[in-house]
Amino acid sequence: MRSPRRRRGVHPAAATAPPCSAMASGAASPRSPPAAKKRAVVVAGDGDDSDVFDRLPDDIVLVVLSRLAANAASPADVASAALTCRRFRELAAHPAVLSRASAAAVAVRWGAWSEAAHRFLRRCAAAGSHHACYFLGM
Amino acid sequence: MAAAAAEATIDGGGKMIILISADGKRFEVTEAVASQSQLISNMIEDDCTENGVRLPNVDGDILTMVVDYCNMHAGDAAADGDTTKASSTEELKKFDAELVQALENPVLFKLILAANFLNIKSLLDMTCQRVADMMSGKTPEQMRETFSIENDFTPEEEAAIRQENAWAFDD
Repeated sequence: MRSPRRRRGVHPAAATAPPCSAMASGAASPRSPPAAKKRAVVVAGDGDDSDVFDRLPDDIVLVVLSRLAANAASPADVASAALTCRRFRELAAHPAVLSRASAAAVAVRWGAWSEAAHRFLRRCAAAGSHHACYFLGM
Repeated sequence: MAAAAAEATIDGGGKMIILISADGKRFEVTEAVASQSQLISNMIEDDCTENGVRLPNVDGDILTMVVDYCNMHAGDAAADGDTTKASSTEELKKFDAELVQALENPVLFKLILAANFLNIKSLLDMTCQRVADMMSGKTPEQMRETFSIENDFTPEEEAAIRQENAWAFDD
């Protein structure tokens, strides 16, 4: 699994900035373009602007996502989480999450049926979701 | 300070334990309260709590919340079959809801890490549930905004995943 704290690349604009600029402290020089200013804050790391999930190990993110799946009001809840970033996409496909999928989380709407929906249901069923088994008529 | 800790162990009948946060704050709690943490419960069994329990990765402000939570829930585990508990169960629910609802994200996530480290299952469950509740009903963009998550997909990847998950969305 990936390490929770990703190493972020330096923005190209930051590389061209003067070497002793105040980038690291988050206070960009007035001449810096806005993009560089924003990136400087992200690189600075532990401020309140950083991704709070970066602190959590994968097993806890799995607990959060499986609770989201267990209480999902529609399939969109899990799908939205999977669309936020790579780490969530990997973890949202974990059997620990799929096995807890609620009845609503696997309720494919009439007319929305697709190969992808079918694959998702089969993965949920294989992970042990009774709701998915029921929906698939297994 | 060490002498105070030793004295505390025979205070008021119930054994007392001193918890020491990362920033050196000391919390005196009963064994019953502290042993809701599986980590500390194991330490009590192994008899290695006389000089206080150092918790080098839990800050004082977070430990304050954890101790409040454990104090509140101490009677919970002890007197379970008690029928007069009904009203206080209500109180506990209210206390729990208020504890997590008011928290800023960084504090909530620190509390999750503390509950995980101390191995307090009910607190870990409750805080993880709170985060899950905050995610539910949100679009990917709203989730990223709420938790400052960086979108590390390329536009092509994101479009492909959106296509793959199109069935899950109403529009």
